[in-house]
Amino acid sequence: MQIRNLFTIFLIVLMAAMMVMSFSYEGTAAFGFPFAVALIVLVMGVLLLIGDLTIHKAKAANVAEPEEKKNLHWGGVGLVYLLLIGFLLISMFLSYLVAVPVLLFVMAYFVSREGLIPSAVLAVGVGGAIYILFDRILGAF
Amino acid sequence: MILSWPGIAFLLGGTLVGMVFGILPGLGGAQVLALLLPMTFSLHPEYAIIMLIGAAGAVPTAGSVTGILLNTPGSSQNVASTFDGYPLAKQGKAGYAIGAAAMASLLGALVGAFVLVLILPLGRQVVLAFSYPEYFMVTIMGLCLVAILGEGTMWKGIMSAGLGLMLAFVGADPIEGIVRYGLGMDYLYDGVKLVPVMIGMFAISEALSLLLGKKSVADERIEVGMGGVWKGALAVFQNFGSFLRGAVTGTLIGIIPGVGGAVANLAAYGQAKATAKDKDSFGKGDIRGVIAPEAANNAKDGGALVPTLIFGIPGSLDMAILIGALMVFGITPGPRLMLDNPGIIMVLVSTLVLGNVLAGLVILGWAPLLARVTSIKSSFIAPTVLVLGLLGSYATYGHFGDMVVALIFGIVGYCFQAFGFSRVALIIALVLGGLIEKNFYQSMLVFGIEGSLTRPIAFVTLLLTIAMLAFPFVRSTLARRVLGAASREGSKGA
Repeated sequence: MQIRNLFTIFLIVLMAAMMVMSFSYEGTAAFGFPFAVALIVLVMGVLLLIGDLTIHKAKAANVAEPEEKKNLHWGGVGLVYLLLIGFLLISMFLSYLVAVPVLLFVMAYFVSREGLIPSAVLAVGVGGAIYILFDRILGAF
Repeated sequence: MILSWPGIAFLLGGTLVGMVFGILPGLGGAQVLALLLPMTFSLHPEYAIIMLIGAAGAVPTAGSVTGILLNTPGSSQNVASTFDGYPLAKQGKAGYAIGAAAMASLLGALVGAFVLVLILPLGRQVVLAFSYPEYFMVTIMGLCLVAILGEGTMWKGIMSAGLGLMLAFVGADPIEGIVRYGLGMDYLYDGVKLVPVMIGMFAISEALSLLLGKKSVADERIEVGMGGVWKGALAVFQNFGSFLRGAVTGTLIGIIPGVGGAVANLAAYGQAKATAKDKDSFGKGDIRGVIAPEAANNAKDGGALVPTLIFGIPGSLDMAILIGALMVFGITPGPRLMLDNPGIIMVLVSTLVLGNVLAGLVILGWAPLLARVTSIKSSFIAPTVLVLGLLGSYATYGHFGDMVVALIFGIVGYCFQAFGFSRVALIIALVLGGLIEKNFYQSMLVFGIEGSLTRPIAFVTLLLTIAMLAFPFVRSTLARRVLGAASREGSKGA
């Protein structure tokens, strides 16, 4: 099954869950719109899935859908997201001052295969600029 | 306020940041606004708006530089400008093309702002003639337009808008205050916050595409022919008809909610070519092919402010983000804004004009210098955008949950791009969801179903919306019948 169809199934399940949950809201205003919109999106999602699966069967396996992006890198997305989750954890339990340079260096040096010195310059330079912007100017942390 | 020294400094800052984002391919108005938004929350609302509008206005102006020099449009709003801009650059006339683009952008923005100022007084009459049913129907129509005309297919556009509405329903309902989809988490009681969703959908998903797609920014650099910038600026006046048609097209397209600068840019190019006597020169380096689309993509901002200010319906994605910013500052865009807070409208219009003038002048003066920004590798830009996006989402409300939401919507945005769903429709629906719900229930309470539908404007808007949704299906059915009849005729003849 294509990832596109899995995404459609995810949307269908999400809408079904939201529609079922809407029954627990007693007020008319609380129930009405969530139920109606979830139902519409659910039905549209099911029809989209049926259409996509039918087309997929009808066409040769190597024919791609026109709207599908050609260069998808799901492995790369997974790797980047692991790094970003690590960034969140370091930010939460240590400090963003550690997380920012570490993430920038790892992404530039290991993911993008840039040189050691440019990666270090990026990590220190952007890390410093972010400290000045968020901490000293905005006082956000 | 804009002419005070902090106002000018924020305008200059916003314009320069917008220009950098405009020049860098893959990043555009949505990204710069999503990233700037958290940084403006500590400012006075009017300074924040000056900075945001200055940045948004500078993006299409600066995007033409990359398009002309590298054949890679800086943003989707500059695609058509490359058709003739790049051939001109290859002929050694890059400066000429950039000068024309900058002057057309500058004057195009003035035309858009002029039309806006002409229309706004009429808006006051509209505001006074409308009540809840009219606002409900107009908002629904605007949302349907966005879904139909935005990214991807109409089907997926409507689904995206539906998803945006469902997100908007999270939190307390606007009538009885019952918390919906809270999942027992305090974080969700106030609803899904717009800023982390926008940062995820636009900044993080684009950074992922930039990082993983290994988009090359400056593989092919043209260093020659940067002279003639001012001659190019003069060419706009020599081809004033092309400029004016492009600017008017851009303004009109801007008024239609959710259509945006990319359509304005391409439509103006098509119109310039269609109305030219010597069509063959287009695509080979005709300066009119630069002037018309560049006038259009800047003029559209003035047009996009029309539905934004009169109805509170974002005319473009940039305007949706702007509405989000205004809401954070406690200013509700829409009908009451013109009556309650006319000062903000003056700030918006004057910033639109001054920001574009500033961006145009910077390009005219320092285009070669700005073009060097493209030498920064995407492998350095993307991680920086990711970090700025995540920290920016945290900085808005000081909640770690916002970073998690931004991450979740980063992957959702990537999937939306990959599978042809409309990110713009989702964001605009998220902005409008509360308004739609509130106007609907107030219509029912005050007028009832019959009373709402017998109001002429509401009824006509409803019919228009139905017609708009039905039109593509009717057209395809008719086309199939015509084709079927033609093939039957053909087989009889054979």
